[in-house]
Amino acid sequence: MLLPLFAWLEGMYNAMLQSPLGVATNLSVWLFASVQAVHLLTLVVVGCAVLVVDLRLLGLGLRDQPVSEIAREAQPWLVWGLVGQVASGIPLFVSLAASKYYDSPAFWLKMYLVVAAILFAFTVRRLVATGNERRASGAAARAVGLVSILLWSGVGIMAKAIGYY
Amino acid sequence: MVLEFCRWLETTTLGTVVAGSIWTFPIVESLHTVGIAVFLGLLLVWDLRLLGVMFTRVRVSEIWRRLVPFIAVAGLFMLVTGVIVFLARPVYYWGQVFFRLKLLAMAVAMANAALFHVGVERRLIDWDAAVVPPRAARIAGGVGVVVWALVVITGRFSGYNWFPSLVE
Repeated sequence: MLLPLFAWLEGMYNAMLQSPLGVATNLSVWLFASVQAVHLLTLVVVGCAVLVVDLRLLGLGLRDQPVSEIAREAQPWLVWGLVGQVASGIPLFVSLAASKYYDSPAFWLKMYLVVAAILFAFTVRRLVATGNERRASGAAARAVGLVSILLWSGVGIMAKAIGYY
Repeated sequence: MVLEFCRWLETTTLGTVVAGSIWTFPIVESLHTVGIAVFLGLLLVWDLRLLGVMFTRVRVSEIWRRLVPFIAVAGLFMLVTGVIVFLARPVYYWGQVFFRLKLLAMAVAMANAALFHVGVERRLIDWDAAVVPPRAARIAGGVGVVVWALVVITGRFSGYNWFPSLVE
């Protein structure tokens, strides 16, 4: 159903690459690899913002600090890290939208996991992490930290799996 | 001499197992990539504290004490998975200019950490609670962020053979 859209996006990307100055195909490889590098660097920012809170929810890491304090401090890094992930992810996606990603089960699984992880981070996890400290330190909080880590790990593993499936 | 060593590595049991297996390389490479988020994500918290940007109201020593077990384990994990990925194609990687730059960047990161340790860290007791740490500590944090970013970039670029091999 989405295939025409994916094909159109990839066509736009290729047209864009070729139009100005008649860029050589070699450059598109450099461009792709550079955007991949940016995608990895913004991954580090998301990793930083996610883990410092999840470890605390699990009763590990910065456990002398209140969860709400850590969550408040990490929030802008999470938001901007995700903005960077999406901004660098879109050109990677459109460059091979129809010829690679549309038929890749790993790509679709990654997308479902990304949506789930983001929704979880800004709803359940945020409520628990910014609520009162008792709620943020029980078994439920540990479960929330664990679910968050598993969701984001799934995203990362599926991201690499796209190269093979 | 390094080339001879890489050639020999390719003939060892471990080298042939990694290179010959369909599954080992993708799985270990995935783990190495996902590990970036853990190792460098937590190291970023540390560097940002040294820069006086993140968790400025938490003592520097507390950040280090609470995070170092995770950073150390994740770092060891990155080293082991990285060596396995390298073993799949030692001669290829040694011939890649970006792989050598990655080794260089990691050496700079180690030197930066060592300088911090023998330098401004010795007076940590004086600036442990400082919102903005002294200039030497901020430089260590800034160099850490830049150099580890270069490790990620050169690591990604090592997978593309844009340039002719330096050794073949």
